[in-house]
Amino acid sequence: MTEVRHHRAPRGPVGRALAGLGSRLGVGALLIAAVAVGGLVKSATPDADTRERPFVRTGRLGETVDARTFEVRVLDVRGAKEIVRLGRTRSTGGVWVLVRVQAVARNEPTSIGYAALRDGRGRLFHATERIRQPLARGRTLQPGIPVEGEIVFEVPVEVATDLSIRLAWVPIDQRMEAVAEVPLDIDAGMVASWQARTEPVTVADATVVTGQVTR
Amino acid sequence: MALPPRWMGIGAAVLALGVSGLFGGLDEVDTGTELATVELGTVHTGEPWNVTVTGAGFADELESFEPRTPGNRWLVVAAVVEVTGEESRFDLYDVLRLRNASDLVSQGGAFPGRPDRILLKRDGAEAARLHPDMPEELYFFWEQAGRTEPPRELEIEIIGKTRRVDTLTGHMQWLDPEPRALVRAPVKDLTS
Repeated sequence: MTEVRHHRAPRGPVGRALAGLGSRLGVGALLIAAVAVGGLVKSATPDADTRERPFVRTGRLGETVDARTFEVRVLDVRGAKEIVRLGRTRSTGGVWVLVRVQAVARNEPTSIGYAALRDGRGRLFHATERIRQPLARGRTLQPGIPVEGEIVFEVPVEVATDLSIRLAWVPIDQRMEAVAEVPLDIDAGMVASWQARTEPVTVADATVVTGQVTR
Repeated sequence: MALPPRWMGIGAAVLALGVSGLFGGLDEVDTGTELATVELGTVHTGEPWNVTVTGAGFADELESFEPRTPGNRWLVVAAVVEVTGEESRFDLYDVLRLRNASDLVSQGGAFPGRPDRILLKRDGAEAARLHPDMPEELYFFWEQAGRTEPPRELEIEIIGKTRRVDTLTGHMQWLDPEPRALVRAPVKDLTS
């Protein structure tokens, strides 16, 4: 016959209730800890806009910048109070900025689908739709054939001296896409002369540049 | 000892409230249903645009363009719109809606009361895009069936949007177009 060496009396109803409550409190504490850890991880993780921001490739006036599907060189900038395009004159409440660029497709036909000016506060002024743009949004670029033309913007006069141009081939959504960015060297004297000009400026057509490449 | 489901539900609700309290609590819900009224010619400051409705009228025909169906007329609202957001905007068809105009020919698709056309007062060109800090006076056009009398007064809703994270993409976007203010404007006969 086996001898019983230890013996514990079964828990009473109060003990069983306390044990059950402790177990539930433990589960609750674990849940709260899991949510807290999840919150910490989430707060330390970059948001989707940061994670998927464009790959901005910067250059200077006259330098070739790689925008993945095309290469581009910003050549010159001019401005005016009024512009003429296809026989129509357009005025603005700010100032027109005309950026002359040379672009060439790299491997397959493409186009400059996105063009914007970025001011010192990070605000984006997209290329105007008040005229038919000669180069941006529509002109197809062929590999190895450089095209030169102007891209036209309107901006408030106050921001005209602190602008960079941004160019990409994707028209709407530049997330995780290459974007070429070039600061425009515009000073207050240039802006003043643009505003003083009484004659409207004619927007130049885009033309194929023979015998030149962007580099 | 098994808890009754009702007690478990109450406990779960209390736990959820407690946990949400640890992380800033639940969002407040604006239960206000009354739309603010703005006087004609007064700016309504909002996001992503400030809007000043300056007048309203109707015309059976205009020099530059006619209604799609002969005999119809244009209801016209003039407004100064200034983009307050950080980027040029091309959703100008969301800026205004008509509340009380009946028999509009184009119902605006999924957004009743949306205008049919928008022109720049500056040069009569189609207004496709406005830029930050560059206010422009725009003409908004709605085509109304000719069989209906033009309203004597237009109730014009100024629409606003909220910049928030899109729950589908996780990206910040301007979403939730909602009326933010109401403008009542007498309707003038523009052909006389």
